[in-house]
Amino acid sequence: MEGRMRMVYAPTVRQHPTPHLSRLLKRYLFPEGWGSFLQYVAFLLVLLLAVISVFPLYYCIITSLKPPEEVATVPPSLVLRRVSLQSYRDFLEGTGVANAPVSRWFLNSTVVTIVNTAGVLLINSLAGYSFARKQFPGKQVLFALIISTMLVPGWSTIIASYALTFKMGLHDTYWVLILPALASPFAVFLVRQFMLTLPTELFQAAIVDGASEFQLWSRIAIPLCKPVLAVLGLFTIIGSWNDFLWPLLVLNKSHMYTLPVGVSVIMYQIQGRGPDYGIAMSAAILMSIVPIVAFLLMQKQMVQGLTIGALKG
Amino acid sequence: MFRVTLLSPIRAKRRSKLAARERTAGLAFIAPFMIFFSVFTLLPFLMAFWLSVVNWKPLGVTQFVGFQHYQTLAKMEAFRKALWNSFYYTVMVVPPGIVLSLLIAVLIFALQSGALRSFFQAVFYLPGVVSGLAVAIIWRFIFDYQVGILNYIVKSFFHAQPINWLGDVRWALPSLALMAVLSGHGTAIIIFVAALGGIPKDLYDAASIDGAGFWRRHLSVTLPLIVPSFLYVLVVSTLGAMQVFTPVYVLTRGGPVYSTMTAAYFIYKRLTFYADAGTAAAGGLVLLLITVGLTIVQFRSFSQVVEF
Repeated sequence: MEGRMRMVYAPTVRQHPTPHLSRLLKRYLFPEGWGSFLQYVAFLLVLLLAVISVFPLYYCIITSLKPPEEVATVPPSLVLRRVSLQSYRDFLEGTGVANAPVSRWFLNSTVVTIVNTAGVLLINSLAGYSFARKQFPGKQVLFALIISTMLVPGWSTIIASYALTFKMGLHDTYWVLILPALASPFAVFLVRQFMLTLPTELFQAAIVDGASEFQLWSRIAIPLCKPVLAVLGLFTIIGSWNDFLWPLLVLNKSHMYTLPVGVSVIMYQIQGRGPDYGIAMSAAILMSIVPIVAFLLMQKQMVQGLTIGALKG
Repeated sequence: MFRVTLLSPIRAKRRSKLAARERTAGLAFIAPFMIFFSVFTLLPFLMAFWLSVVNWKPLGVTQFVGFQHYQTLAKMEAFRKALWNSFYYTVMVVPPGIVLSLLIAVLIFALQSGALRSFFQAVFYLPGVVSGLAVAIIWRFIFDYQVGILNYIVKSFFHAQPINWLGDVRWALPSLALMAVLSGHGTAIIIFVAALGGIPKDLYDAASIDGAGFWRRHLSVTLPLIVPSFLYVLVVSTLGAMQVFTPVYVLTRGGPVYSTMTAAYFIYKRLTFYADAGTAAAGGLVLLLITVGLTIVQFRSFSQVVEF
């Protein structure tokens, strides 16, 4: 439409006797105008920044796959010439490191992540549902209190959590990683925001049909909330798997370490005899497989889930 | 009152019965959450105050010492240095990080292809799902004095002396900041892209009709409308940067000579190396005071710029 209008009025526009160079360039290179030129510029810039952003990950992957003698070379090589799994083998067998039951660490991380995720989904979907759709005294105050704790830096209460769980005798057990992680203000907020959008009629119809309160939650709210629960589940898997600081504080026995704690201890040990970057990079990759796969499985939903909290809050 | 008189007594009774049932269910459904929340979030918060005024012993007698821990902290050079470093690190990381992520978000938003947009959002988010520990380990290699790729660039492209990134008092903290700025703005980018998408196109058209140029349009339309998202990203990333721990733990352990001693690492060290929960808890509360102060300042200054 716009193009046709321009053609109609074209004769009235003053013609340049000798077209300017920039006009020529524009006409032949970007027939759709400067808009498409800006598209190219934006694309190239984003591409450049994206390459910078993922470069460390790429470099880590190829380094972990290099044969040990090619890892630390000057100049560094950015391509993989020969593939070798030696670094992975060295890491998994705990070569040269005292007391490193790596497979046990994998098991610990897996158990804690699975139990945490199931517990977080159950407890917070119950609470989120209640805050979104039920009326009870003190609701607003409680919700405000829960949300405001999100602004408290973890470091200001972590010492007290440490002392508390020590007194409860939980250190060096799975419980110390599970129980404190179950009630998550972020999760309640996420679930509540989603449940607020469900149509009231559905619940009213179910009440007329004689549904109990528990059935309202299990038969109506939960099935409708599957998308947000999937996102929350993935966030919890990633967060729980990656958690480092809390396990580092409360786990002291090496057979109870989670993978990140074990890796950090190995890093510290091999630092003494000059860092072995092949082992370090393979450890970093092995730690990252679970979160990366989780992200790739549902990246679109996670990207949407991230904005729920930010825009409506 | 008015509605009750309109209803028949039976219906009113059923109604109040339903409300009572809802109340019971509502409380029952939050009960599991409230139990764990009270024990593992609220209780530690109160306990932190108590720990900071007693001499806590894991095994043994605990005695009241008043404000002694706070006085000790005030005298410790390491603590003052830690607070300053945390603040300095935040200043080096947060503003450049926000500018960078806003720039990337604007560029992504400028792309017309929806597939490209979501592709790039995913690419920028990807490094963010990798744990901070793994990222720090990777950067340990990049920063290496002899075989690191950063010094290779310094030597062969800038023909300068290699820099001892992590071992030099002047470079250690800026190196950590560099790592933070270059790795992981995924969340901020996604939030900004969503905010840009939420701006109605009519506003730009209206501004154009009023004669606003490119810059004017973005200054008067884009900026005010993304302030809520901007504020969210600012507050959250400030909170994160003030508590930086993992890079310090993996890369520098607070050194050389306290140059990367941050508040979080100080607290960690007081607890684990010196078994001193008192000053650690007191330090945590001082950190709380500072971050709450920063958050209030940020909210205040931005609610003045734009009325929500």
